[in-house]
Amino acid sequence: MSILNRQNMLWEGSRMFLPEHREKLQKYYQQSKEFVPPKLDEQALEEINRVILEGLEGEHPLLIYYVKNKKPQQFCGFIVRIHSHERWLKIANGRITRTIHFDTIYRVEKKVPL
Amino acid sequence: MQPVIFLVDIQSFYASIEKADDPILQYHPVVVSSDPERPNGIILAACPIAKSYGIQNADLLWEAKQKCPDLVVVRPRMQVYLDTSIELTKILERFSDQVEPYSIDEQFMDITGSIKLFGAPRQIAQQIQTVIQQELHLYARIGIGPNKVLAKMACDHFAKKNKTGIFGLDKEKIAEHLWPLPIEKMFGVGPRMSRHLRQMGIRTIGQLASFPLDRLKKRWGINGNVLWMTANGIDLSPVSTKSFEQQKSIGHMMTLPRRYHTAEEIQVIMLELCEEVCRRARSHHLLGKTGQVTWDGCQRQLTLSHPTNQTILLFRHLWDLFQRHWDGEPIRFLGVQLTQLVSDHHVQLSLFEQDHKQFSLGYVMDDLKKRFGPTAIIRAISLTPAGQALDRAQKIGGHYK
Repeated sequence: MSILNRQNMLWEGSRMFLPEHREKLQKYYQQSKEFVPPKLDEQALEEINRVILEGLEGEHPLLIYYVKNKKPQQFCGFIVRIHSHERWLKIANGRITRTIHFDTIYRVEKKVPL
Repeated sequence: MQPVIFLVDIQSFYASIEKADDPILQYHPVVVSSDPERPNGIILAACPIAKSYGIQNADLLWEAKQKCPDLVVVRPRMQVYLDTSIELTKILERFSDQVEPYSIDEQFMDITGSIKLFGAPRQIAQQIQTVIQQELHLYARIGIGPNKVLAKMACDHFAKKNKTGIFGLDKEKIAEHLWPLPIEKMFGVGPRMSRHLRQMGIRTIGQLASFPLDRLKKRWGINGNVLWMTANGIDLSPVSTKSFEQQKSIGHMMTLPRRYHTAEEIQVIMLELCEEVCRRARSHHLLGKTGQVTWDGCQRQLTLSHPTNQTILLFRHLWDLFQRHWDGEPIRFLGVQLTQLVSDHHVQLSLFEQDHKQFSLGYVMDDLKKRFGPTAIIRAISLTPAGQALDRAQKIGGHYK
């Protein structure tokens, strides 16, 4: 018995797709790959606010989870500046810094240095 | 654990959507026809009531009206059908993350990993039917098998014909159910292949399954092997959406509304097709290395000196190619394709050619079309009688949006 493994060729070869349909599917797959942060309620936002302010005042490092280019990101460091009018903060880890907009933050953790 | 694959197929997809949208049509025989005003229009879909009068897909409209004088004829709305198809994918993805659309109204899904979550395959199939009925008001038939080819044949030959709309076909059952069927019914066997097989004395799927594999391989190579595997219910294809993730080629083709006789007329269509192909290449930020032109059963291709997505460049090359090979007979069908795609981020610099303006011109035109609609800016030549750009902009797949 001889069994061929041609991956998906049997089906890709016989498939009939309108270009418009293919385009729409691609867009849909693209969108479903995008990271959607959890929706935060008031309490959660307040909590984030508190942890960030404590981090700034207590000068201890924070781990911030945020969204950039529709992908989840994290950065750990010390808060060096908060601009409440323009709604962003600056966080530094050694020489590396990040400017993070408030609206992209979805979680903050206090990190206790070892 | 043995894989469990579903093929979910929607009954009379276009016609059912029309009926779901307009309850008045519920108990009438309904067909969707490419152009209700033209008696020579083709039936794209017929609802079960219309089918009970003997109307079939691809019948001509006047034939259908003869068979059933009370027929309700609806104009197609391709955009709605495409949107519904995507909705369907979303519904199926609630049951498994492995869903592969196979056509506008058929989708494969691998539910092997969902059985612990949602119950036995048959139960999942029933749940899927219910959800599709409730949310889209469509009737789904589901073929179940250990692989895609058995799921497909389970759906086409059994689930579509029984009362529950669900049928499971596994390897133990193929001898009883699949093998007695005539050879034409097998997936992958068209009219021509069935003629060849019949000449070899193979009349049923079962006879093909027990036919010596070497002889099939000798005659048809890999294809012979694949046919034999299909007859024996063997298929190793994964349920995969990979082919949607990477674009291998971009092509557009059209059947012309009448025969085009002169080079001037054909030129217009070719330019319009090149425009559309290049527009799509640009929207994906791709360039093509190979251009291909297809007309009435002929196909020629050439490799471009450097990859491009510029309409006029592609057109010049393909027009040249076409003129060299066209025998002067009037044509009814034309297609343009761009393959061997590469990203447009790395463009070979041509130091002395000043085509940067041309290059960005395409992108500017695309922007205009995106903002103000596909007919916001068209080439003047498209306004000549041969032009189809305005008409095409209202259509998807040759039928009205």
